[in-house]
Amino acid sequence: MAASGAAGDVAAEVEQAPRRGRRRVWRRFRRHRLALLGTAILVVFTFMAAFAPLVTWHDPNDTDIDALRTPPSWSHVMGTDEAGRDQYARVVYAGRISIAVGLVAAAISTIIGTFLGIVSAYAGGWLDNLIQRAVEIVMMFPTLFALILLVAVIGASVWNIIFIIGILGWPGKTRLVRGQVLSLKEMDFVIGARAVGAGHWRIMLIHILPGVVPYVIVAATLTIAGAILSEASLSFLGLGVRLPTATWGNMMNAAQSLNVLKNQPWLWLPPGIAISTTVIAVNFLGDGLRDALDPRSTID
Amino acid sequence: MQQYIIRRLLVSIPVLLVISMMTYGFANLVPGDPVSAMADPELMTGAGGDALRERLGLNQPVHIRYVIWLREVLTGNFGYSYHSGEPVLKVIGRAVLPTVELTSVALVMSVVLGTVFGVVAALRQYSLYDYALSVAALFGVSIPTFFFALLALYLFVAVWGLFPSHGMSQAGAEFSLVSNLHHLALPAVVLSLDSMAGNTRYARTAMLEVMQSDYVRTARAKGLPEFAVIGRHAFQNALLPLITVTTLRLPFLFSGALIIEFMFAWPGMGRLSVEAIYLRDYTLLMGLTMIITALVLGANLLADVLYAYADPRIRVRG
Repeated sequence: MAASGAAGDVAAEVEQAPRRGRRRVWRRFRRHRLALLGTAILVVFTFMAAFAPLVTWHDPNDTDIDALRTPPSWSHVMGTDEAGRDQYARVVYAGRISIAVGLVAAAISTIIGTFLGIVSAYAGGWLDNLIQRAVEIVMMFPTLFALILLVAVIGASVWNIIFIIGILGWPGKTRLVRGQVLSLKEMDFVIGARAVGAGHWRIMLIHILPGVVPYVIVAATLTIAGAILSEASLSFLGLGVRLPTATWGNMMNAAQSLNVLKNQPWLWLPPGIAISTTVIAVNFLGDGLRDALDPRSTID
Repeated sequence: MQQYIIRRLLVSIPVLLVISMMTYGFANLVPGDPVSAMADPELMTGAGGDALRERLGLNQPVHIRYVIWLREVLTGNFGYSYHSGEPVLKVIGRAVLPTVELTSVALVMSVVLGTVFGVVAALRQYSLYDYALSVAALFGVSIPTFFFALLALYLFVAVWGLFPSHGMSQAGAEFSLVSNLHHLALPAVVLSLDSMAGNTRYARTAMLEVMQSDYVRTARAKGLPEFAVIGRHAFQNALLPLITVTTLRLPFLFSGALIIEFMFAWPGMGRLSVEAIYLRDYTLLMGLTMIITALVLGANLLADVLYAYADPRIRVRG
């Protein structure tokens, strides 16, 4: 009887642990003011992008040949571009692409990276070797160069770009996850799980994966920032998403003319500020999450 | 050490081979070929186009072309640019020095200034300076390089007219170091910002970690003056991981150089790559990929050797 009572206590303890952990994470995160600010900015930007038709007054692709490159005015608060399209509407709609690229590409690379990282560390041997050599090769190659090459090959549609940025971003995550799993797989609970006959996949998914999740979340957040920057650079070079679809990167492409740069700053400043603010907000969020989630962190 | 270097060089061979195969394959999947990029496709569908394709060897299957290409590369012949007809090595050769000049100046600035900023921030943790620098560094890693470049061009070129907007030196005039440095200043500073911000963050973390270590406490306990504790015991140890981080950052630096060279019309390999893509110049693209990969591999090797020298714990297994 006493034994089962003790077991019951342990069960209750185990059940409470995640909830207590989550509360501590939230407490730590809340104290990080910049992280809260970043979250607020991201919520507002995502909301504006999602409900773009409700917060803009012009269609982003409507051209007006009577109002080419007009400075900001009451009817066009951020002016118009070289085809007479409303800049404000374009900045808001472009947010849809950037946010979609950031989230989906980060998800793709995080899933690939986590999977390969766990398998690499868990399997060891030649498979580990193979995956790590692949990591080194991909990491060594300048991302933007590879991105330009691959996009030129399969075509510059938004989904292709998302996919390519996603599959180029896994090596960092693989290395990070592998490092964590190498120590996790020697832990008693993994050895115990193996002793009671759990299969390899079960051990990797149920016993090891939860241990790397905090690190993966932080890395994934920072990957969102990187993915947004990659797409913007590509589109800025004129090799990414094609006009008339607006992205923050291709809107700034116009500023490569020194005349536009000097005399029509409303054409490049708003998208530049939008992208910078978004990436800063994502990085604030990532920093906050790192402080809050790091199990080794002693701040309570 | 010698054996170690030789082994590393041998390991780079399969890496170069794999990258060459991947790039060759991808470059050949690009829709359209140099013939259609060179002339009006309507005119080039007939016998003229076929003759040109045959002369350029484009009528062979991809894997045959790859083997022929590889055989030639091994004898030092990277082929001729489809576009200009010049030897690829010559075209790239002209672009190597400008890129090396731009990236090495940016690299040195980012490492030196980034380390200084980061170490000072760590030594005054939680001070106003630390806080301001951390936020500035976060801005530095977040703001896209091309937006920094646009802001710099706007302020320093368009408004104040302090620096030239493009090129490496005065066009038409004889080369002068002063003019070259004047042209270099803006692109090099803009290119270094992103890495500098990253290094600042990294150096700060590394230094904070080291300051809490036992050997620093021991050094203090035995009564060493503070500058000796920081300079000899803390700083030198914090510097080690920075070497690795700098190596990992090299490809990013090159990605940045691609944009910066394009924007400032800097005649380096980055701008050449973008042009090669626009013109579908496969041979040039392949040559560029191989040279860039070789340069990055070489820089990696150099960093490893540096690391081995810097860290007395590393006993290289020879």
